[in-house]
Amino acid sequence: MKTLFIAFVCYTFTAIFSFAVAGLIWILGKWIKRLDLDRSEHVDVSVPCSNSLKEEEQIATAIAVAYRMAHTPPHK
Amino acid sequence: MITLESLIDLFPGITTLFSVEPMVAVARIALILLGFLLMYLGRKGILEALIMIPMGLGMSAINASVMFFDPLNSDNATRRVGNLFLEPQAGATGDAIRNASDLMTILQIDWLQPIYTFAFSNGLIACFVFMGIGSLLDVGFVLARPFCSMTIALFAELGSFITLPIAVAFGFTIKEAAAISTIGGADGPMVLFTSLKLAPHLFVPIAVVAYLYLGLTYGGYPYLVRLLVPKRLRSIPMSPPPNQKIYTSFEKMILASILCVVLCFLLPVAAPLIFSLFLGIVIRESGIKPFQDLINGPVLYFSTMMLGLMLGILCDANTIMDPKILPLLLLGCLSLLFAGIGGLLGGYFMYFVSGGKVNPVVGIAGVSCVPTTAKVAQKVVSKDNPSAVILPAALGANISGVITSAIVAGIFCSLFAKIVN
Repeated sequence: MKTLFIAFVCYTFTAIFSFAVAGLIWILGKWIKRLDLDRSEHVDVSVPCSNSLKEEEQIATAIAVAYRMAHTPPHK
Repeated sequence: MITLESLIDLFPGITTLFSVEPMVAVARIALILLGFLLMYLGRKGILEALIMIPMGLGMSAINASVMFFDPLNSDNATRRVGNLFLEPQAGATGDAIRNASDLMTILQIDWLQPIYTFAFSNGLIACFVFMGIGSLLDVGFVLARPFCSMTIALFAELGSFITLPIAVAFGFTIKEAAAISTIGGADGPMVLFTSLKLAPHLFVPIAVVAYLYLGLTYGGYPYLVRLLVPKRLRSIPMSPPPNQKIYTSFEKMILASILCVVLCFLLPVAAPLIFSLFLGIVIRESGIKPFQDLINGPVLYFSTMMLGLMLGILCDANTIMDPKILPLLLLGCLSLLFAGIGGLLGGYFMYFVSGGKVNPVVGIAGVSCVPTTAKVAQKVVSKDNPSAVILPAALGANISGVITSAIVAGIFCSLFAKIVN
């Protein structure tokens, strides 16, 4: 009987946790939609890891241009 | 001088058959044949091929390659038998210094010992498998029906909780019983993890029994579904829920990250597995292609192959002849049977609550054997109604099953880990 009670208590805890997680998923789902993150969806984080030589060259060129711009003295 | 004994020792695999008790010799031959059977059933698609083929070959090979071998000189009086694969009990004595010395000796001799010691017995392989599984999961399926999926998964956990008192009635301690009952969660990595935490001395038999049965679910659960769900209900098609939102990968990544942190916060005991699972999900949604390719390719398949191989290698006759194995076989079977029945009860519950919109067969996917039980659900339904697609709902219940299994593991480890016996 004691073990049955322990099993019942454990199951109750599991149920509480599970529904809390389900509730959290539901709330997060609603909240995330309101944030309207679609605007930033175009950011492709895989580019820096790309094996494409062309993309690597473009990145290198962009970095070099940015570096030059940052270190060029302002026109008088 | 060549003696008769040295001639006999030319083929120790055969000679050792006559130097041990007849029962052990019979068990060795039976396990060699069982290994071939598992490989055959895996190849035929009746059992899960990814686990069963390496496991079957490992089981046959380990029982064939027994020889007279005692690297630790544990018993000089008799000729002890051993193998060059691994020694699961190396370093399991009460003496810490002897443990370290024994382990170092065995690590230098047995070829699979490094993988067993540094990846299997500490749960690393389980975490790698979870990362790979995570990279195959789409949280969008859970987002579509969070409460329905979680309710079904909760019903499917009945297997664990019904087995717990039964195992205690069989004479196991509460910690051992909890470790055994997690077989009902049908989540291999979770079973490995919980047995390591709660009953390390039963780790090997529990792991072997759990994976043996998890392989059998693929072949056995369709019969259970057909037995408990009439054809009329099995054919119910499921449409997507009304007003279903489409989530972008960025949104799914944020959701998975928050969920990971919250679950780790709530259940630090199961945090390694929870983290591994959600790391896989986050990498899937992050768009980092090289990481995706790494995790759902080499990491997942290498870990799965090594897991199957390890389980096969652990099935040597001496382990299987352990008197605790028989009740474990029975309890494991009961646990998964109750889990399947519980899951289907959950399916029926959601069928009535939704007014007949949920196919009760989805319930079997609440048993978190990802993605096997979801595939079983779709396979059974497709036979009766080829146009019915229940896979998205089944995968939702499946993923929720993984989450509830992690919760159960966390609760068991938190509540029972500090109990002395």
